[in-house]
Amino acid sequence: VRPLGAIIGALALAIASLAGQASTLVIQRSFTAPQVQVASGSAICEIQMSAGTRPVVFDATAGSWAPDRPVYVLVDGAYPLLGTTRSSAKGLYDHLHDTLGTAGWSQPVTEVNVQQAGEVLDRSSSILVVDAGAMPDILLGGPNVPRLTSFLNRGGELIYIGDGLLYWSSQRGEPRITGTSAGRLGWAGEQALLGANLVHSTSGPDAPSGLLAVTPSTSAAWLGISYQRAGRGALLASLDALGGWDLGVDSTEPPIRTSLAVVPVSLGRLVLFGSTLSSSETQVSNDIARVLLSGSDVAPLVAHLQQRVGHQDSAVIDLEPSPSGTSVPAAMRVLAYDREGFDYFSHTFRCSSGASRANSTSTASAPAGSPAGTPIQSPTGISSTGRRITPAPGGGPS
Amino acid sequence: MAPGGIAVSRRSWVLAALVIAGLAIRLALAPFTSWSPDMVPWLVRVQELQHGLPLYQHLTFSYPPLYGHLLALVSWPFLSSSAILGVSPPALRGLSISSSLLAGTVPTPALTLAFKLPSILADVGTALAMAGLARRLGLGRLDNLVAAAWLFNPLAIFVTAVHGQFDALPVLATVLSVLLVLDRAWLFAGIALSLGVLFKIYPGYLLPVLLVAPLFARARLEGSERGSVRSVVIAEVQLLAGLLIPVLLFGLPLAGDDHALTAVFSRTQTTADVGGGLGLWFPAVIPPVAQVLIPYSPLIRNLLSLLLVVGAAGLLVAAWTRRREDGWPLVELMGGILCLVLLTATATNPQYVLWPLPFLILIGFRAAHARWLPVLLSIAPILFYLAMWAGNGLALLVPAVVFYSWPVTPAELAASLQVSYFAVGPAGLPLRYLLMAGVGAFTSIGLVLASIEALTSGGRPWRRARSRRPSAPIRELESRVVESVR
Repeated sequence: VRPLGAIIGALALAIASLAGQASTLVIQRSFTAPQVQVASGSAICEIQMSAGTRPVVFDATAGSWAPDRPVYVLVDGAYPLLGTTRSSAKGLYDHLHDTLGTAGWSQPVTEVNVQQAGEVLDRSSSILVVDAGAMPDILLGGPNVPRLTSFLNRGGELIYIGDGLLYWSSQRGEPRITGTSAGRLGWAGEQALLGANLVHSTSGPDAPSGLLAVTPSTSAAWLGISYQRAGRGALLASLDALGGWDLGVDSTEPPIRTSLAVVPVSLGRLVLFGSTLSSSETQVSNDIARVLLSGSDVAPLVAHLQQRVGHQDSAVIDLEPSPSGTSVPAAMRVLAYDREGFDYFSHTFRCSSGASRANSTSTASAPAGSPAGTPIQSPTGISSTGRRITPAPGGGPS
Repeated sequence: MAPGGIAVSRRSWVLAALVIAGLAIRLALAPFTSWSPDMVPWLVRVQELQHGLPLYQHLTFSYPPLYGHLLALVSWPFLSSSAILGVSPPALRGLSISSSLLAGTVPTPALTLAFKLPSILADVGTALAMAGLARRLGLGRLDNLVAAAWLFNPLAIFVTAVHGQFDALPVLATVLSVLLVLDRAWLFAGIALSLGVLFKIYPGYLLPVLLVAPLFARARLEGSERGSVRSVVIAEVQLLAGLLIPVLLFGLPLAGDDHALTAVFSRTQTTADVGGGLGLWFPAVIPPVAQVLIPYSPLIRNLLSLLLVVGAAGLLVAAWTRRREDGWPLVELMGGILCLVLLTATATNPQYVLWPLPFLILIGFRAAHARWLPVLLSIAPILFYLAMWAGNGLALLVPAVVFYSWPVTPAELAASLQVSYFAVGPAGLPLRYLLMAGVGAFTSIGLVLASIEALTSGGRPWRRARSRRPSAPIRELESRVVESVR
């Protein structure tokens, strides 16, 4: 009898935990997640959006189709970081691996060290994510950055999150990056890669690295881009000159910078964030995922629609050419996502026009815990007659 | 009623009054206060539950599963309603992007209270378990005071009712585990410690102590009482079975879930260049010092790991050599090892100091010269959180400010915190870093001395304290409480 009180205490803790576990299981079974289904219809593409237990505000974007490619995220503890921590740098990989994997991205997301990243640069035209704040010197290949250049020329895609595009380079075993680091390229780095300045302002002082942008560009609004640091972001004037496009949030004081930009480089592309990763791995990985899933890294988006869907209700969206006959890509990548704080729900689909669209039916729901693949019944509610997502005049946002 | 019965009844009334007062303080603070960044993972988890998503699907919850399950239990009333779970005040947006010390989204006071409820109840359980420990250790009539030392402990109140972290739950599990070992209820001792590990990983450090406890128990007995080696084996089997049961119940359903392993282990592994917080890494919270320490980081980490192993081994050996003495060294072992863990960890967050505190409080009740250690360690971690905002306590009142505009409006809060965040101290360094390092230094000194006290005091008689009667003012206070309750 003596230890009865303590035994009761331990049992109470165990019973409370069991009750919690039972609650988790019951909730997972009784609450359902949103679903999206894409099917060929009378127009180019028909998307059926179905809310789960809770109402959802869906966003849908349409962009050019490009096939899914393998994504490699550089994580190497032997190289120093700039403006972030080891846990955040690794965390970006963890989140990106999860988000892309559950959103329908068919290619693997892999963690690589510097040596493996070098092999990626030399042999593939995949996507390489560098979030270390500085570029390891081996990957540059020299002051003229030939290794990176040949990767981009071959059609590779570099997603760079750092303190100035190739401004800093890092060396293996170097304890920290300083202003006197041997391999530092300075602003010559972006000149070597792009043949022009993208971040460095030649007409005045550069912005403070902590500059926060507050005005979302059209694409940022469409994609719900959350990254707002723009102190080392692309200058909009330079971006235009290089044929790139703005996906980010823009600063207000001239010269205007963006927190996220895409620059085509030969057959490949550079996706540039406006500063370092800091501890924003969740937000940055979410932004990267939306960029890739929407196809906005390949070409500017052509259309967007926002649709509220009520409790256990469905809505249908038809994607079709605008009445004015704006050219619409024959194959489009459509991203449907929920921006209301739910960074876990996003799905990407291929929508095809013409004969090729006949077999393009697929269904997606939040991955586990919901009745995956449940057929959507006859849509009812808000938009049962269908709502059209119409490509913007000129083919995309300005 | 017999005089003894009256005494027991009176002490029970006092304990009940203490519990009610401790609960009232926590419940009054809980809805209106928080360390806002730590509320976000709980809020996101509730949002996930609204969509029926599994615990680790999106890496938003990075702890072992039990608190995640308790979140499901307490947040159930909020799931199906259309009520707002939280708000994102525009006034806080800019600062929340600049600094990870402030969240841009704030849960409602009701939901904030729900998040804290399991920990508040755990605090009550810990206080009662500590009172039980005091009685087992021979502190006799001091049991209510021991309970009060937890119920009104500033750090216990802060972590549970203000901050919103759930360290109180594994703390309860470890204290229960010690109590059950003292009662030789091996199966339940194993269950309790295992539950603790399933809340936060740190009770795992106490596993070696638990596994040698049956040997200590046998060594303390004489002659025929000692029993056979077989009894030790049976105790070990019971312990292992106890450890295994919760793991099977709660861990097995996650066995094939890669996300769970990633969330709990990959993201919590120590990969920082340099450490920080309240342990021996405290100078590294000052960025220029951290830069200087980076080249030596691997060496320092190895030295600290060595210190942990050697220190823990020393505690075990010291306890074993004094096993026949009057005192039972388990409390010192547990407290000492947890102090060493905090000293040598790469990141010692202030709420972690709660882990050894119940044991240090008990040691303090036995030895007057060690009493200031739990006092120091109950205050310094709170100061660390205040130091992060250069002493600006408004950062802890975010729910009250956002939902009731009290004591200031959200815009005024943002302006005030902005000033604090960028305040510069001596030598041009940010004031908050200097204050954090200073508090870290004091805490480290306290942890070092607490480790030494645990190392040297194991085996000292606890019963010496039993003969002490509460002082006259305390007896008078007890009487008043009893009268007021009646």
